[in-house]
Amino acid sequence: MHRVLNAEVQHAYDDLCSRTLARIPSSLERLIHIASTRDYNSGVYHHEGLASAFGAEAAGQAIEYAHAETFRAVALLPLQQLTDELEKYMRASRENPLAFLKAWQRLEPYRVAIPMRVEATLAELFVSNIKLALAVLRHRLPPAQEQDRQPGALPPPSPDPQSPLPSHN
Amino acid sequence: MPALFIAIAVSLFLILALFLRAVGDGRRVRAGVQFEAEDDSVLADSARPAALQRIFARDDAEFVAACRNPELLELFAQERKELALRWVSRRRQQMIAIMRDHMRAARSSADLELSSETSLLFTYGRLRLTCEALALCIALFGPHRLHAVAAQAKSVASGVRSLHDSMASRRGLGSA
Repeated sequence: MHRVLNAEVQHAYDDLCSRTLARIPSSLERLIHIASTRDYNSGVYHHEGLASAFGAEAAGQAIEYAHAETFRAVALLPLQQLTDELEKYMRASRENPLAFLKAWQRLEPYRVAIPMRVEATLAELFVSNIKLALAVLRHRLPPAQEQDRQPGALPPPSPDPQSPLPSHN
Repeated sequence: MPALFIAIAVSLFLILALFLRAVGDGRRVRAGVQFEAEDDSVLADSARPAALQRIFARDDAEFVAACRNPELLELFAQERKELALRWVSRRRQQMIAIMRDHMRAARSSADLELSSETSLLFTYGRLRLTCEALALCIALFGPHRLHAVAAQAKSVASGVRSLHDSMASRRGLGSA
């Protein structure tokens, strides 16, 4: 993404990067953080601090730009690095690893991290790589934690793109 | 002599079987397409090779192989194959759309040059053929085993763009 930002949006973007995103250690966590500022219903980004300093529109555009940049970086990560980042994120969540992996494989919450405007191949690569990273992490779990390990340990098939609901086989 | 005919028949049958398999794979993949390219990113998608390079990346295949788990390996092969076939399918659709637009514009053009139109048609045919060959190779072997094919795929991507540019410039000349 090589968009030319206007001065106000550029300032807002620099501020976002230096004050907020720089404190988040991994690119996957940065992506999840940025995506969490987006309204699911409207697709509009909200950030109180940034909006009060630069205006809601400039703040929204700056976050949208940061989202696209961060998403691109994460989608193009080598699979090994993405797996490491996902494992760190899972540990940081303090959730039971098996429960975390099951939830991510079933509900596919990572799909909300995809920007609205994105290259189709990049979005598919991201989803595919997360699926693979989850499968690798599940494979690495000690057998004691994987009591109900079956072929289903690998991710279930993707839900029908026409259906608004995830599959639950 | 009969042995030659039998060999030719077997070869033709084999080629037909491989072709049908590739077509079948393509259909299954298209049925699962999840992300449609934005209108303004259609050519951008083909012009940016970074995602394509990752689909064919050797280090990802080596990482999964090091896990020594057949299920993981199978999942990896399946995911990469689907990604690559979707990519090829998009390029094919772009080429068809570009050609359709050009044909529509050419019908109303008064000063068509036979030589340049033939050249464009030849380029289109070559790209389509390369696309089909790519799809066949990917369906048969998977992209992670075909690092050399990555260069061919990149040439298809840049070919689609130059085809688009050539046809746009022809239309520009025609309407001027």
